[in-house]
Amino acid sequence: MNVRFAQMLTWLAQPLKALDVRSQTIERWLELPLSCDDVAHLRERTGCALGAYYHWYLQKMLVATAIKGASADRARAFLAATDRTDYSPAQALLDSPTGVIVAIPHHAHYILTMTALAMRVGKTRKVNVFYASPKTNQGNAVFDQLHSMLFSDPASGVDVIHNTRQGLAKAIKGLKRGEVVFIMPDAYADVAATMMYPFCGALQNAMQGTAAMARKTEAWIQPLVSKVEGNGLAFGARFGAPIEVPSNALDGEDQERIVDYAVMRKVFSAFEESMAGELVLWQNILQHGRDTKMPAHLAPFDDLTREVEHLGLDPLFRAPDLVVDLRGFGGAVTRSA
Amino acid sequence: MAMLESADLCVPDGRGLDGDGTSTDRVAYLLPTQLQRPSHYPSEKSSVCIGRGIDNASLCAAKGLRMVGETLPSCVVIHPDQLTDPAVANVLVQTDEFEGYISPIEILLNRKYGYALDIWVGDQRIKLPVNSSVEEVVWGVVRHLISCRTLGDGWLEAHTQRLRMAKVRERLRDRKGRFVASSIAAAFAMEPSAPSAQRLLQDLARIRGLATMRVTA
Repeated sequence: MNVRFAQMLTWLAQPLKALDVRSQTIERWLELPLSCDDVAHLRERTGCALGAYYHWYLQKMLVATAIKGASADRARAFLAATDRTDYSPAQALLDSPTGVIVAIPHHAHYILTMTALAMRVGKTRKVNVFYASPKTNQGNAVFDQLHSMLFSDPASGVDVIHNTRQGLAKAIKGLKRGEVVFIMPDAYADVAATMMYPFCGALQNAMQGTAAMARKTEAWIQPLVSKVEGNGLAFGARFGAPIEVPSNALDGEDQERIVDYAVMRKVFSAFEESMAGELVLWQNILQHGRDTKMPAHLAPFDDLTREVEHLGLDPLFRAPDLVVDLRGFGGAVTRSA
Repeated sequence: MAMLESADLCVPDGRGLDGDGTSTDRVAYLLPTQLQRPSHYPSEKSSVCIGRGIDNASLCAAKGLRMVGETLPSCVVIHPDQLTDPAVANVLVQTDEFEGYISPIEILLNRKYGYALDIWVGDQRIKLPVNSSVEEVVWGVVRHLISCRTLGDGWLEAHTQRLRMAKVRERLRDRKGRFVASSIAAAFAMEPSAPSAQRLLQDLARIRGLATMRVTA
């Protein structure tokens, strides 16, 4: 699809943003299956008319259509035509004597922002883009397509790393060599490995890997949030204040966990500064604050001892009185009387 | 492990409702929670009913068991499908089609208080004599719970059964544990080496470990 045509469609569809009536026709057309609960949640969490969500998904669809099947030159032309980012803060990435982790949430045109920044930085410094393999997250297939199109030439300086054990080892090795790693901390593979962070009015689950990786490699973290610019398909980005990670010796896993938590909290605070007020553009908005059983706030300092005691008394945490393994047990039902 | 085989009223080793002479007059009926009592079963009004009965009268598991222990009524009706709370359902059962928790109340009724069990399993029933093995009783309860699903919308406790599933409890435990761990980490962010932070985290780790300790039958 022609960039100008896509831009014009986005602009013409602006009035859609004010629509606050549900349209199943639009949802079908955008391939956006929403339940009634989803709609109520969106209205409550975003404070926007439902049309703003439709309009955002229209933009995503137009971008995907414009990029899909395009040649590398055409994809570059698309990026050049839509990128309004001020890259002056990115100089710090190039000048850094250590490795840098660019932490970016799944917000607005994050794929375009990551790609455009990687293209620039990759010219002078090796970039690794770290994300879940499309085998585990189908939505990430677009990354693979885009990167194989734009970065298959080693001279691009950009590599893709999937979120596997080998990928993690490669990212750490790269950071120790002073490379730049892009990572998306608002996604997680295993909720049991996450901690909870106050974020935009609810608690958000997130893994501590970004902080741990920085701590182990003496890298610093650059928070970055993609933004929608103007009324067309243009995008920009906001660079947050750099986050230094304490590198002093820590005594044991508990201390590391607390230090990593503090770092991740700064990362999410930086995200919140840029995302608050436009959560409709966040990929996780349908899940955010949705779980009514999840507390809205962390427990205050004065309640911590009591919270731990409560867990100790909670029957959920009691060991089973008995475990009965009936696998292979050959019982049979007697006939009815 | 004892095997249950098809027979008329009892398990095949000869023990039966009238078999051992000690249990002939005490029977506990395991019934699903539904609007109407299945036919051929005694009225809850003529028995001690553990759980919420058809008339909505309610006797919790602990109180019901105490009353049974004190008075040894000849007939007890129990609704195992209502016993999902971790406080009362804490026997972990693993079968090929189910991994979850049930209450030990049927085991106690059968092995401690001398009640034969008459278990509703749809259009059939399982009858277990007094002093059946733990495995036999547990197997009967699990068959009962699985049979309750056949009641469809008529099963009034269908929506509460998630709480007995091992995976659901694991998720609930995990969420509570992560909430407290996150709260501790947030509170001590400026002082990660504080002894009180270490103590709280160690206590938390110990408590989280408890749930995975297992006592096998």
